[in-house]
Amino acid sequence: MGLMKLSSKFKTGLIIILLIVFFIVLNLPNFSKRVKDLFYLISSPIQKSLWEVGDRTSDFFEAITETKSLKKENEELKLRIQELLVENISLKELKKENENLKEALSVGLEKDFKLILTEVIGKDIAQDSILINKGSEAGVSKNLPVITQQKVLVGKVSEVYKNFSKVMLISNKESSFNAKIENNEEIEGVIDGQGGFQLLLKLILLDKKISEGEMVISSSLGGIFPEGLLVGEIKKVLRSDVESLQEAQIKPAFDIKEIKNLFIITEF
Amino acid sequence: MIKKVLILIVVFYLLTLLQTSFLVHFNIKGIIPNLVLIAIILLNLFEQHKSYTGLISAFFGGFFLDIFSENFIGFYVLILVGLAILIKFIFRNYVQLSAS
Repeated sequence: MGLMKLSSKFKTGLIIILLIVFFIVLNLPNFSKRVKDLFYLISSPIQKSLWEVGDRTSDFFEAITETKSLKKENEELKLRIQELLVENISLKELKKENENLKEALSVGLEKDFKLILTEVIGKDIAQDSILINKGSEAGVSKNLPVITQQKVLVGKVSEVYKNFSKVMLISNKESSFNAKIENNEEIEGVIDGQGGFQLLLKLILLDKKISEGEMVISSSLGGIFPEGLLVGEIKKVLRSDVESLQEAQIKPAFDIKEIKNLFIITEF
Repeated sequence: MIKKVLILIVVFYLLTLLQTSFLVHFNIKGIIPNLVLIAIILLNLFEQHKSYTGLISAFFGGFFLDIFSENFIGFYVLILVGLAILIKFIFRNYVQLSAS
């Protein structure tokens, strides 16, 4: 009887020790990356189709619930298009003039970014970070900025596997970078991620005037991101008389529900 | 027994994929429901109290959650297995069902 008890205790002990060893081995730096990469490789076809189906279904439901506001938005957008068309024409003329002048000065056109196209296949369960289907084999390395087709800043590469990478969204709690107001580039601040796709613009002096609806773009100060990528729109200005600095809530310009293709900037 | 475990593994694998790729599009103010966690709690609450299915599924569910998150592997395993053990402990010691 005593022997039986001992052996069952021994058994539980053995199982626990085996489990601990199992997890320690799995967490060895290189090994854990390879294990995760393997799992991502197996599940990426399923994840990709799930992501697409989710994208379409949520679009469908949104279309139903938002018909009314969409109509209004549509009208506003049409007006905006006309305004922009007018602006566009004048800009085109300016561009032509500019090009001519540059040619005359024999200055080469500004180099555009070098990009890698990727697809999103999943999101981290707890943090604001997403999984994309290009990794070290495609030339992705850590800390490269990630943008959408519309040059909206999404985040930076935080971890690289062989065929996949994790992208830390700008709304991740660990994310922080310099930004400025689009039309008034003297106003510089720091954007902090708040988790749950929320952003906060911080460290703006009280005497600088910021207001709702103004666009925030990235600044090259700090060297994390290239200059001039769209970050979001000011949703609410938080001002208190006690503090000497003001803050603002920012609505990110990207919407996780709409994202499918992303670009990684490899050179800027 | 082995067949049951295999089914559990597949089910929790699919639940994790559903959560990471499909439910992201239906977030409410940035909150995405944790399907695996809900499944583990329900399973442990409603299974027979002598069965170990809940514990085993907590282990595999946690494992898949770990694979698809940035934490070290074992983070969710610890949380979910701990939770399963807690539920079982409470049921065995403090809850008396009239039928048994």
